[in-house]
Amino acid sequence: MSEGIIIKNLVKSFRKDVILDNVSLKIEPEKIYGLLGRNGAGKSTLMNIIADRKFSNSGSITLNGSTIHDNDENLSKVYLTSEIDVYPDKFKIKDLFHWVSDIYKDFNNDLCKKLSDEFKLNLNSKFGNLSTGYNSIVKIIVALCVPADYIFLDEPILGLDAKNRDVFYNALIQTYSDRPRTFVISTHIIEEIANIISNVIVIKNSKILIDDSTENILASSYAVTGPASQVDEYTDGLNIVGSEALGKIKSNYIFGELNDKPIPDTVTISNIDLQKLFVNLTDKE
Amino acid sequence: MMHLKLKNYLIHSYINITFWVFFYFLLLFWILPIVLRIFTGNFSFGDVFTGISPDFITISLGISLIINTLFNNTNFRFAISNGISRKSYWKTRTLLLCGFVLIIEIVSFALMLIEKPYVFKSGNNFIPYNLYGDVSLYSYFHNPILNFFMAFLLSILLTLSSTFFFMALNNFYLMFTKKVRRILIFVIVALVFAIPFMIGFIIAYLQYVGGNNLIFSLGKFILSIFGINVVKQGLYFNPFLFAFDMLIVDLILATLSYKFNSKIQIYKD
Repeated sequence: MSEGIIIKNLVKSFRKDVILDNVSLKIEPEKIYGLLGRNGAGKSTLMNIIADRKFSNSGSITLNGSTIHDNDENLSKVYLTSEIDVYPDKFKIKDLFHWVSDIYKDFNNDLCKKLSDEFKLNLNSKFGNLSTGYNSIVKIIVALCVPADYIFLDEPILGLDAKNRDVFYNALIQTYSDRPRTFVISTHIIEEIANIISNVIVIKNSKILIDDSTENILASSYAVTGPASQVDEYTDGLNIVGSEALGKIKSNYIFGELNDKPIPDTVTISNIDLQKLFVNLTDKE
Repeated sequence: MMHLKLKNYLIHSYINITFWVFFYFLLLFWILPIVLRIFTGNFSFGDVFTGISPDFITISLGISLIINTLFNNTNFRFAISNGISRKSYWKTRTLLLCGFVLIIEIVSFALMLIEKPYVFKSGNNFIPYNLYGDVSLYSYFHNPILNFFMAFLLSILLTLSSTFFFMALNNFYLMFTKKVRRILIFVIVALVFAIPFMIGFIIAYLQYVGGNNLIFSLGKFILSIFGINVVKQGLYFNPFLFAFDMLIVDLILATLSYKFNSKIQIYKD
């Protein structure tokens, strides 16, 4: 049984700025993760270090018990696509696909052709001449077709229109059901991936704030709504992550267990979505 | 283990660069002079053949080697992003560039054998001061075949040293972020101009401290390390010592390029 990627006490700093502060994490096989965090939280840095593109100051990253750093066998199981362009600008898209498939012997050429058609990608275009959207599309296609077991997608839908985002999500679900493997998706459009991801990792202030299944997280997230005084009275002592008020009506957002107090008739309790929870969690200092 | 798949990609990249260098050389040194002669009315059919010389081929191959050694950033990013380790990348690249060096040397020496085979004639390792030219540089032994192979070996070691030097320089440069790289270019260019002056100052200082005798002794000592012994009428050249020293230099530069390569990170350019 595969152990997955285990990250222990990872620290990355750049001069005086601490980007990742003692991060420990386990990325399990065959799961779809949402890696969430505000701008500059350290998501991209974490992905880059896992994929051995950048180095950490300390800590360890192992895949199935052996290190990823400078290990050909493990590196071939990890693939990262990010905003950093790693393909030569002069390459035609068809050449780019050719050379990637030349390196990965089990590259899914059929899926590559199918997705190129679905995204209406011109294979004779040069990579450097692509728009932001098509630049993302090319990277998405490569990421979905490489035979790696751990795919990291950093802002995969950057510049994609609604139709192409839909094509991407469908392709992701299809390719996952055809060959289950781990996807770690970092995006700011949480509502669009909320139904796809099975696990959520939230990074805040360079540390891991939440690392749990989407199901558990949503089951522990509540909105307590009603008259302000009664809402405050009921939620007193709970983990309030945020609140909103409209006139005399107030909503307190709770993350964690509710108490055994009787619920006042004027107060309603409902679950909140991932986006709302994330906004409130990361907004709170 | 050598990453066979990456080998294909790198060979394609190196051949591509070599082709374009060769193409521009053809344009500049062969086609352009012919066109100029046609326009000036001085063209004769024989000019078609005089443009291409063995030097043209070897120099263009040498420049291709330097470009292939220095223009490494794109290939490195492509390799590392596609599951190739830094170690494997360095090994593959080094093996291919060594192969490139071997091809250049074979072509160069084959052309030399055709054009001026006399340079490998019987001789000895004494180079008189008043004799300047190919003959003195390739006649180490009394056997022309031995001369040929020793010259071939020395040439390979010398070309390898420049290849590893440029690899190390390039890998050192790529270790830094874009901002630092700009400063580095400035420093390297400044050093290229400053080093001759620095050497001049050192020599002047040594002259001041110990006079010409000290300079002469130091010069003799440094040359003797590389197998060149200065005598009154000329130089005695020990090709074995020179080859051994160059091998050490090559190993040091290769190690440096490997160490620097293992420290390169992928930055947003």
